[in-house]
Amino acid sequence: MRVIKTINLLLILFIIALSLNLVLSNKIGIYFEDMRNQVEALYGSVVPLSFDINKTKCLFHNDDRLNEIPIDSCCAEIQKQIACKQVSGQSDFKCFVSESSERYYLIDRNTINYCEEEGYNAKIK
Amino acid sequence: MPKLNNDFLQTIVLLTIILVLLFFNWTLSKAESESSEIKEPTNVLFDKSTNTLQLDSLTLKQKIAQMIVTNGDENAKDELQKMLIGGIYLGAKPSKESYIDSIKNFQDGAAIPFFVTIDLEGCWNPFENFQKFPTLKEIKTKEDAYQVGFDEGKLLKELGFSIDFSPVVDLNDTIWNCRSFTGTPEEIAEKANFYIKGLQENGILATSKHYPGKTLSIRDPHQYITYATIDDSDLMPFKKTIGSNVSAIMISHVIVNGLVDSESKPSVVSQKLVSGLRNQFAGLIVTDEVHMLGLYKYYTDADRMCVDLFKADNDLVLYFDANPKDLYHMISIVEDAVKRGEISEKRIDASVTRILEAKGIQVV
Repeated sequence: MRVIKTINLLLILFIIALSLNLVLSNKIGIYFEDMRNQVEALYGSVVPLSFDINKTKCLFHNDDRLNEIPIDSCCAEIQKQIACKQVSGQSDFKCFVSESSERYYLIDRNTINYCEEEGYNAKIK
Repeated sequence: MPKLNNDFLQTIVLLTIILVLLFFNWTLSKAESESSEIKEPTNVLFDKSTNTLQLDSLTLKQKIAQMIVTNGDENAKDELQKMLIGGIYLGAKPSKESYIDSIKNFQDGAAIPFFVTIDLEGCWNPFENFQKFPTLKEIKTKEDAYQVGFDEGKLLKELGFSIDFSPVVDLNDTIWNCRSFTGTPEEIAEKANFYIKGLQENGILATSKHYPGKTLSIRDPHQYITYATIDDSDLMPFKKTIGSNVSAIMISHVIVNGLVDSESKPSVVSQKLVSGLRNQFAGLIVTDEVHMLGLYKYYTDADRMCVDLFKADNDLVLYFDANPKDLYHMISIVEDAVKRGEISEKRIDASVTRILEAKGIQVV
């Protein structure tokens, strides 16, 4: 009895040590990202299925006109801008080089999520 | 007896937890050891006093890395320098100083200088906060085209850039409505030539795009894989700019037939199409950004896409994913393809030589 209790105590200590190794090295957060990379390495990465890309919104404003931009071009364009700011009173975001510029992109949360998942960084303010 | 069972059950549960934790720790240390394979490029024999680089001092991975241009994310600077990535692409910044500082930060300590790239694409002006330029659509004469090219080139040189992925020589832009020149194909070609002259007189490498044409004129925003029939007028601006010594040509993801045939594949991965261009053009052949769905959706396997991009005769691959791990993965996949003979190392060497020479480095 005592032997088993001692073994269990040692096992608990071992669990604590292993958990600390993960937590203190700040590895938990990257674990799932890493698992994704491994899955991609095995099966090849595919376009994520979690978004309906037909429901994303990306409009380019120029000369008082709004032109619809394909989502793939949009992600690269958004990443190039200085910042994206939520339009007051709306759920959309305006992405721009200069806040006063007449040329800017108007995107929604779906677009931001999709582009982030694809590895692009929109600079949300 | 029940007491013994309880303790024993506890032991089994604890052992199971340990096994799970051991698995977590093992997979992570494996990932870490893979990343730590990226070492300081101390092997590179580059004599900066004579600007001469010994090509065979580069590992195969380093040669492949030289063929990649990625997003210039300063958080990834160390990894990009260690991997020997060929170039960085910079987006908008608030001031001249922020560009100069950022470029200096990347170039300081780089074993081989990065190509520093941007695309002043028609109406995209990342310098809007401190310098205005007319859009390509607003340029009316060849003299204006030269002046705009010259002014942009002067600023790019001052900030530390080396390549401008511009001008667009597609005959029409129905997506942004401001990225292409206007006029007849002859007028577009003429303006493009003068604009390129202005850029290149300042030591900036100009890029005619998007070969073989019709890239900005046929897109339905919800249709990613696009098709076009190419005729003489689409190709004419490319031929004219090649004749005027444009430094680079960017290939599109459109699937084409007609005068140029991409074998039912996106143009950028068609060996026939890219090699056909190579036969007429000795400069740098650059891919359009590879995450674009016109290419990405054509493949179910992104690794296959990476191999095909390098297998075709492209010199520079634009890959704007900000994650260095994904870059390293791409390099490893292409290295494997070279090792198993699917891509010849000679073909990689030819591209790397072109890239280094375009950087002003003598290759021996």
